[in-house]
Amino acid sequence: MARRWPGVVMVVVLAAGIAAADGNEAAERLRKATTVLTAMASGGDAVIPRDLLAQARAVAVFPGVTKAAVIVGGRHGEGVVSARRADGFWSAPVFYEIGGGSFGLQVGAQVVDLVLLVMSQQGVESMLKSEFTLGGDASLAAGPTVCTRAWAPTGASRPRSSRTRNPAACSPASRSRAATWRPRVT
Amino acid sequence: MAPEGDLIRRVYGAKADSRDVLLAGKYTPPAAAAGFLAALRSYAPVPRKR
Repeated sequence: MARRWPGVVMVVVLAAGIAAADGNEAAERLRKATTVLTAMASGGDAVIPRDLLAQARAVAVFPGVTKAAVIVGGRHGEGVVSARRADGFWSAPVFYEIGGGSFGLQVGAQVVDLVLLVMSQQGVESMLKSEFTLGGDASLAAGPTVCTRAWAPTGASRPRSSRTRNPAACSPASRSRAATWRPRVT
Repeated sequence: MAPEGDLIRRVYGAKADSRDVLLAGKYTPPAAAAGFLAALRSYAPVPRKR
């Protein structure tokens, strides 16, 4: 009987360790998302127009989305999403991941902070599916610059917008490279 | 783009899913979300009722 104790203690300690790691992961992601949102929405040089943000039905923030490619490209990022409830308040945040691939003439790597604004309730519903495809569930339309793009979900009347924060991504030198990235993200 | 079900359940409970958390308002935000929600409220405040 005494021999069982070490095993029991080890399981309890291991479970507590996993729970703490989950809490830390969530807290760290929320901290990074707050930093990105604040940087992109505050100040006189805010990347995201306040009126657009105020009209959003959901906001998704993906800090440090990694994109890399040599002919075959891929991207991956983890973020948080909050949606406006019926009473107008923001919901508790939910954790999302973003990823996908592309194929074509492309070489390079970059890390960007990505903010997606979902502008319609239909867009929010699409996002709640187990897998939501930008470019499939949501059609993309290029905006005025690489770092400012807007798109609308298929059949939806309100656009969905994204903003990225990466000075290099907005420079003329990087536009052609950035443009090689397909807008389709799964 | 997909919800991370495992992490959502670990943070909010075994039965939590993205719809319940985002739309139904069944779950209280974790303490760690206070800063994020404060930023959202600051830049996208609750619409005033007319």
